[in-house]
Amino acid sequence: MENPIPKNVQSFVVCDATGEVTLEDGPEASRLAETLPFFSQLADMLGDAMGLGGARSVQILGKKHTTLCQAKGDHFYGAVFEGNQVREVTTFLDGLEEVMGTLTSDKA
Amino acid sequence: MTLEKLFQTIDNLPGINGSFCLDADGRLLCQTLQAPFHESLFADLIPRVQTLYEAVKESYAPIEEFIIEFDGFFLFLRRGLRDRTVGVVSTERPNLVALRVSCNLILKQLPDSPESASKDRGNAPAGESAKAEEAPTRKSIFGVFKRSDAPEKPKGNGIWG
Repeated sequence: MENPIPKNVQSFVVCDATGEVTLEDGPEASRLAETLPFFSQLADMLGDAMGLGGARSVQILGKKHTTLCQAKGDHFYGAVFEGNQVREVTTFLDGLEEVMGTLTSDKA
Repeated sequence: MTLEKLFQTIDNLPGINGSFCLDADGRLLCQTLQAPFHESLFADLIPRVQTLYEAVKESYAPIEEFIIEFDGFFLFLRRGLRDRTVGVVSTERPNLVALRVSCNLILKQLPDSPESASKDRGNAPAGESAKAEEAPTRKSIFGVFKRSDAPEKPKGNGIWG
């Protein structure tokens, strides 16, 4: 399954709630895996406070880089990328979800 | 100019439901959120916003801006001058440039002290003033954060610079 990494993506990771990594690439991947579930939890708490439920995604906007976190099913998907054009990276993470689905069905 | 008028700079942008501003101690200076949001949500929301900033700073990097996407809504948070935080709720993906400019204008024009900000709030809804004067330290499930105890902001942090 083809899921090319966008040029502006520096690191990406797929991990579970404990931070255990399933897929990763790039220098920031390990650090991202340690914090992804926590960031998603914090965003969910904001949603709960506003009566909006869980967060679909969190964008952490740095000066040059953006970190995108998404929780889907039992896994957390994250990417660090240059700039703040999030659409292409979202598509890439959606593709990773499909890859994860394939990996899971292969195991079964 | 009342704070509500100041916030119209943001609220007049397309897709914006409303906005709010917190001072460095987590006191609500102003809010213009419309239905379905009610001002009672700030009792829970404020400490969680503070926690988000502190937790990300401690575990990742000092960050000024977040965009959180929910079903049907976006929450944009920007922390700026004097560690004040502007939050904007929108029904569509926010235009980052427009929001940043508007937030910066507001953060620059806000009065220096929370007290004078409270006086400037004009016809703010009843009950807000009491909230704005709550104790500066707020408790969250992750513990109590006090701005004075926070470590110095590091100069440069890996790729975040």
